[in-house]
Amino acid sequence: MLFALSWKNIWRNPLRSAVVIASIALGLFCGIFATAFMNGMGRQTVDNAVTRELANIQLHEPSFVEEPLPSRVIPGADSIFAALRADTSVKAVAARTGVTAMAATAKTGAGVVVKGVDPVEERRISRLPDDIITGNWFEGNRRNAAVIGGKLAEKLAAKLKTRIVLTTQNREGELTGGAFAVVGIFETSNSTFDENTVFVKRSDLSRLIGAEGDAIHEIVLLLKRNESTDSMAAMVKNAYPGLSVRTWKEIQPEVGMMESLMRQMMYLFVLVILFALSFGIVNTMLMAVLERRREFGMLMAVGMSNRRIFSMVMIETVLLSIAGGVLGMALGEGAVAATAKTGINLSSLGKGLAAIGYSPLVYPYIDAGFFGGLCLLVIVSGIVASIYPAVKALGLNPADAVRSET
Amino acid sequence: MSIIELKDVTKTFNAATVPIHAVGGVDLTIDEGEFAAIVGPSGSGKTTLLNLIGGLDEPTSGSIIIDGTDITRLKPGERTRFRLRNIGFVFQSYNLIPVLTVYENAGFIMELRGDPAAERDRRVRRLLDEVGLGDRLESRPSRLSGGQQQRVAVARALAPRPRFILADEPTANLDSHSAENLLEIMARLNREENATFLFSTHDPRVVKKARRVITIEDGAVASDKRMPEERAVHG
Ligand SMILES: Nc1ncnc2c1ncn2[C@@H]1O[C@H](COP(=O)(O)OP(=O)(O)O)[C@@H](O)[C@H]1O
Ligand SMILES: [Mg+2]
Repeated sequence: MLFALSWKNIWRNPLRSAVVIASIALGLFCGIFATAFMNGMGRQTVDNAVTRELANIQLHEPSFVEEPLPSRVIPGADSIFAALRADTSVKAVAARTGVTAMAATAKTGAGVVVKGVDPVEERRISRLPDDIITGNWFEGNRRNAAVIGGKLAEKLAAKLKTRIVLTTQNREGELTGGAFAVVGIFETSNSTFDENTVFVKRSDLSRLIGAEGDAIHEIVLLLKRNESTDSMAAMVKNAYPGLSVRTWKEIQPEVGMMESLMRQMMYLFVLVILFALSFGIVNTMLMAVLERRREFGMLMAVGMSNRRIFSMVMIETVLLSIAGGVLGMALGEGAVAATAKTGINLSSLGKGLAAIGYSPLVYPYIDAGFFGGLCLLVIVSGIVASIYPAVKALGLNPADAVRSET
Repeated sequence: MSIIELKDVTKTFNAATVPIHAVGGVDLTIDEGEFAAIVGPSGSGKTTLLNLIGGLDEPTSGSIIIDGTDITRLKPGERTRFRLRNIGFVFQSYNLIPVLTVYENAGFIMELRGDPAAERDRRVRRLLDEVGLGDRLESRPSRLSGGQQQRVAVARALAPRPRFILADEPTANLDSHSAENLLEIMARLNREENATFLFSTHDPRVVKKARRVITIEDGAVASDKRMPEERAVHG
């Protein structure tokens, strides 16, 4: 009975209710879309980091993590590699040689991280080969080929075919060096990575540091699902207690933190929107109550309890909020669905975004949990917004109110 | 058998300057089945008295006993519940709910009381027939004349069979024809249902329909006359 009456009461002043409902809907729509957009950016950051630099899980000899000396290889790397590749949740595995080095051209030099990779293996684990803007990813069987980041190329004034001398330590800790020719230049959305990373073939780098066969310092795993990262890491840790096993979150916590920080900020953002909207709701309901003084007077006079009068105002307010909330969520979900596949192109702002690690194409997304939280927030703000108008209604004196003008 | 019993009831309003003695020392008994009018000039205390009897206001002193319950001793929540269970109200300005139909308005108090839906349906249809609105069940109040709205209000008040019905100037907003018509309907319901009515008025034509006329002057009962039966019925 109260529900039906409250719902009918909302439509007493259709324009006023429509304005409130529309403002709630618009507010939520903006909140939802902005959240979806930020989610998309956050996911992209993680995705970029995982599919281009870090993969999901990395294994090292523990001391290599402290200081990456060439001698600190993973013992029994071949069998570990084979075992991991057989796991069903693993999409791809790659084994790398890794050293820090000085890269120098005729003009200048820079400190770099050199990764010795198997080009075929690496293609399976990383999207980086797709990011090559000039040249190619180790095509042909040329010895001492290098693929470097665009930023580094700029710094070293290197182009395709430029010779770069890499100076590093060998396994015995003695200085060693070799000349490599640039065959490809890549550009990712992470400019720091582009500025200090050099890819060479694993065999070439192993030879440079004087290893017999390939020196494996790093085994990286790409999983089929990012969500299984933590459970898989635990399993790998169990299987190889002597190794350092780290997830991408542990290697670059700022990437994950950025995402969760963004999430919290968006909740706050939506909360602020709802808070602002609830002033509008309070105002509307206050008007509705004062306009109906005579009716509230009648209800009280004939014996409607305070509890029911309070509920009536509250239900009316909550229904108003829910109407706006549902509309806003439908619009928000619609807009997200419309842009989720194609993405939103921000290439006009792309340069600045790339510098802080974003791709210019953002794919908005929103999870069901967010909508659940939002529903709750909408109902709670409706309840909170109804308190003052309801108290006002209860404050009426029935004997006077039945005789009032409105 | 008396339903309403006022014993030395006074009501003093503490206005800004001097206290106003709106009702002073009223003793009054209303029996079951009465059709009584409270008459008096404007400001004589009719509204105040009806508010006290209806439990919408508390007397400054004295007791108001309804069916053996001294309502002045009830807590506010209890008094609200008491009103819902025992007292019917008809207001000067009808006070129907505009978003509900005639049928829904007439059944509103019964619904509020939680009376069974089937019984409510039967009762509401019958009463709306009685008041001549059996063909307007689905109309909104705004489509009705003042007289018709007040008839819906009478049906609404009477539907749950309250112990008595209070009506403060129920005809004040009506033209004389509608006023007479309303009073005839009220009088008929009084006879047929043995419903007790206590209403205030200062309209002589309305007063004529009453079977008992209680005249109030300056907050006190000045005269209390019972009229012969025929006058009320055929007047
Ligand atoms: N809430 C109130 N506060 C102060 N004075 C009041 C109040 N209600 C009524 N009065 C005074 O009490 C007296 C009786 O008023 P009322 O009962 O309304 O008379 P009637 O209904 O016969 O016109 C009047 O003098 C009126 O001004
Ligand atoms: Mg009056």
